[in-house]
Amino acid sequence: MLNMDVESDKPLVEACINKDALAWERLVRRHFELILASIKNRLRRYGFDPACEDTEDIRQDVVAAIWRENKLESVRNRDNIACWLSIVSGNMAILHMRKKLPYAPRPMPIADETDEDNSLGAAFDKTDICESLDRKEARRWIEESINALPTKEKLVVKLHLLYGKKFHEVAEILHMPIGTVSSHAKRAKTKLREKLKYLQ
Amino acid sequence: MKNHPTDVMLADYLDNLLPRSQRRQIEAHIAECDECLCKVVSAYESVGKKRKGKPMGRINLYLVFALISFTLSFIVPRFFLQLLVATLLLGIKWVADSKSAKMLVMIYEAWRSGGGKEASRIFEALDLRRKM
Repeated sequence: MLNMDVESDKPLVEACINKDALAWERLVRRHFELILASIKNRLRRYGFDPACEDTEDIRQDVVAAIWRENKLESVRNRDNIACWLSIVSGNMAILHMRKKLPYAPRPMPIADETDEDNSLGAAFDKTDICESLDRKEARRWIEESINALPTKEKLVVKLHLLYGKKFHEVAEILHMPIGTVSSHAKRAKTKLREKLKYLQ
Repeated sequence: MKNHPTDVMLADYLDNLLPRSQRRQIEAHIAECDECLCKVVSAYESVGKKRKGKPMGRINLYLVFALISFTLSFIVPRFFLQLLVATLLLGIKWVADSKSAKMLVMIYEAWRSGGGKEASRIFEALDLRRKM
């Protein structure tokens, strides 16, 4: 990871596009950890065991597919391919699992349960209506309420409450100031609370 | 959900390389599409740590201010010493934040912990990089 801070990927990427095997080997070695981390992260997000024995097969699939299909040609940000590589590695992981399963797996946002401020429950009072309702029904209702929010508020709520991201992380992902994220979250929580009052 | 943005577009979104109109389109999509939002979050988490470094623009600002302060110290002789101290501090800050200084610290640390072997390995890597 440290090397990616210092070096530009561009010379290696362009050499790889011209099928330079040595450059390819170096690029793979440079991003080895990132590919593995991305595979494990996406598997975890889809509810699979990130330590399963498939990860090494998936990593090899990623490396082989990028080389064989010359996927690097389509990358625009050749100075830093980390984001693109991470997304492609994750996609390959899910594709691999889909082939093995009789059903299509879906992403499962996992908020950090140890962080009480960030959990979905913390958006509402602890002694709240979720307990008095059938949990499934409450969940469906909350999801519908979140989906009715304006785009920015919906994104902030999903990232903060469902994915457990802190405000500064949400700000980094959405490229907006922390103050704006905070005010979007505050507005969204007020709206959600108002809506949920009707359930009582 | 149809019309998913391509992986390249999602990566460009995370790298903040898209024009505002395209950013809005992507945001409207990932707000509705859990799969694409998951791709973005997952990539952010896997890559995220490397973004913590200070942007080069800010680092170079230290150099600019140091030069301004240095010039001012001659123009305003009354505050010569104060401006010179400010120049020195800004200069140190610029050197400390630059990549070369970090590299030197890394080599020094490697030399201290792993002996000359580790340091020469880093020198070799640097040499290879220069040849690229």
